[in-house]
Amino acid sequence: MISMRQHLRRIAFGISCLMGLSNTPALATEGRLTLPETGDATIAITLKDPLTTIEPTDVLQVFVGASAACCDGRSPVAGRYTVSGRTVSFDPAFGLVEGQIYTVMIRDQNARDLTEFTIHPKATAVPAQVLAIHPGGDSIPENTLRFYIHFSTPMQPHRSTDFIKLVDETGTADTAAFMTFKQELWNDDRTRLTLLMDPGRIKRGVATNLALGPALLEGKSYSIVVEDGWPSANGKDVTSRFEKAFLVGPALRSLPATENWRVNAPAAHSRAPLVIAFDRPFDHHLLQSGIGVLDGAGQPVPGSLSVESHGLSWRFVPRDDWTSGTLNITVDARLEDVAGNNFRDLLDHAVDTEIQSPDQRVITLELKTASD
Amino acid sequence: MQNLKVTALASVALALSTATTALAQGADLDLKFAGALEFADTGTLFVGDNYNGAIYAFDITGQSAPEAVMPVNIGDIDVKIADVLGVASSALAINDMAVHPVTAEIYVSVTRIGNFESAPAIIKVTQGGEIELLDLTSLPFQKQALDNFPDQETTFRPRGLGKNPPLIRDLAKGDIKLSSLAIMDMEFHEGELFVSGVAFDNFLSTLRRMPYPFTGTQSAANVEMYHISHDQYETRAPIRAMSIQEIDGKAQLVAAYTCSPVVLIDLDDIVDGAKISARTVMDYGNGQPLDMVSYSLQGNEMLFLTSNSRSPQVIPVAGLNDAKAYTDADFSRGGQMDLSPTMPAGPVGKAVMFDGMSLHIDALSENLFVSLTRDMYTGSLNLDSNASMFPNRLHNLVAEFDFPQYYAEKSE
Repeated sequence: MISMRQHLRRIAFGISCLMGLSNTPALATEGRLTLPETGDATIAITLKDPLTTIEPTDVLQVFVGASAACCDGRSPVAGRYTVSGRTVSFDPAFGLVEGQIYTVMIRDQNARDLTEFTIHPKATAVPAQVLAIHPGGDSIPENTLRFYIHFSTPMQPHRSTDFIKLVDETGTADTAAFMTFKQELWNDDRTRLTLLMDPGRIKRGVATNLALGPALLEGKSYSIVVEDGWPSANGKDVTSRFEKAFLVGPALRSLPATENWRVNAPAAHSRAPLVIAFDRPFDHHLLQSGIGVLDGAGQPVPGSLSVESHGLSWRFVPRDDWTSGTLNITVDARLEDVAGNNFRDLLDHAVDTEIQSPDQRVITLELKTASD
Repeated sequence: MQNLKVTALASVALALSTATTALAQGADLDLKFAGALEFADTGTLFVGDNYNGAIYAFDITGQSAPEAVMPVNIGDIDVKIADVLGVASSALAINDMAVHPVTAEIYVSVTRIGNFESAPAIIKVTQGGEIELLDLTSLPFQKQALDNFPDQETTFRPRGLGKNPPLIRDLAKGDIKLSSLAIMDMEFHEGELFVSGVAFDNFLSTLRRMPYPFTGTQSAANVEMYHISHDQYETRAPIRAMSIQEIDGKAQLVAAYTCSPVVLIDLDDIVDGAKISARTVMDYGNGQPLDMVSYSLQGNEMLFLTSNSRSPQVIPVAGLNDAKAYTDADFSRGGQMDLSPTMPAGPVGKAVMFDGMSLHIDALSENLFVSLTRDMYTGSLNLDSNASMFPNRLHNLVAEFDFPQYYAEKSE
């Protein structure tokens, strides 16, 4: 074992090479620096003359972080150097990670040249497009509060006012329809944008409502347009134009109530879906978590849910067969309809309205048996 | 059955390169996780791999000792290790640290978290303070697969504090596999490697012993002990830190558990298939041990026991001679906590000052400790070398001695 080891070269990755900058012999580079497109690719530079007396680490090193923070006192990324003719190549010991900023330092004639690069995530292969706008459907209430815009890939932020418009039947854009915030309302991976109608346009009798009137008027048709050219977060693609047209129906100005819902009772010992039909469209996003199913012992029933009919119905398929007896369907009192009304109060309520207090509503349901 | 593999760095025909090289993965080396570290006296490095259920022994012998061991101090060591691995420091997990007994170079086992995978790495910090990726593929190695390795699916059962429901951070424990406890600590002693952890289908606290060089033979014994502060006999929670010492005239394992008993086990009792009843000689009350360093202080053998939640404890080994072994008969029923009058119990030594929190600590020389220390005020992780008799730094302290007037007055 020992004798074999003596043939093996010791490794020494270190920062020592940085110390000798002023003594580095003059070197001239020629041709382009080859930067990696994938994490396991090689970084290479071609020199004018073959490397003879100096170390490849004196020519090329890679560091973690941006060039502004590079590179005094930092250790270069460890890896293997190869020299072939006039080309110095560096293969990192571990694949470079996507999304991390790296800086390549090239030393040339005692000057040093820093070049930043990032391996773009593979997700960049997904073309940028609008997948859906919620609430969907051909008709929405006049006082609709929120729209969700779902994208196929993470998007560049702070561009929504440039690309999203509410236009009326004549094609005129209403530039004050949506709330503008310093921070846009994105989900974690920036694939879902929440657009809020300016509540001042919805709430009756407040300043913008009086000055501009409601943005949506019952009986009229509008479109939400996402213009083409919105770049994805990685800059690799841009959206093509997406238009969602709808007719405006009556405003929702009553509290939601579970008594107005129709709930089917699935058969015991089956995996038949539990379907709730609402009396009005509910918020697509809040429906993902606002309704729970508990078994007779009060334990959550595992399963998968889907929102259907543009927020007018909710469907739950249990992971395992239903048992028998009673189900309790819990409804979070904060669940909102598309106009922002929840079980406690209306979005647009009189100042002295009493708030409804319970945190949740419970619908009790008997599973169907063969004798039913 | 001997399972000896020797890897060699392929001799790449490099036209003019004199550069040193390293690769993360060799053709034959299949290390998946670099966890617990331990050195044999001459410099063989043992690495516990909880994913492969194996211990790897890398030959780093034949090195020469420095003329004098120098203290090594490196600020933001996590950032600097991450730099070498090509990731941000948030993508680095530090698993263990050990000092080469000959070269006084500091070895740190880490996990490098990539986009979709994690990779093991061992970092060497030289006496000159250089941070290097150890080229494992250039080192001859032996691999010893562990018998009765537990399954890698079963996870912890989350719990809340007392009657409170588990918080989100508690629930996260439900994603952690019990097999992460399979190799907790390793001790090399007179040609044998002792390994603590959990093993078997039912995740029992287990001590293994195996000769090195590995021969394929190994023994595994289950350990039961009376846990004073929990007032129960425990068979699952593993030994977290341990040391082998001469106590009562024979070689014994001193072993520390969570919450926070210390037990003694005769090495002779560790035979294959045994059910060992360890002797509980002390209990601190609460806390979770991290490392137990054996060192000499003014001619006395000492143990320096660190914890993730207590001051380090200095335990004189001599105090363990003739130590009383506690059983449930020695206490009234019920759990005991730090504030119980019965706590701490036994020859626990003394709690000592330690500025910051040591993530891992080892002896760097006869009179120096080296520690990966989390600074209380900045949160930075620093590699610090300090005197083992007073393992502290001064910069966070302000005392009378920091006033210039003090010295002016003294000189009058």
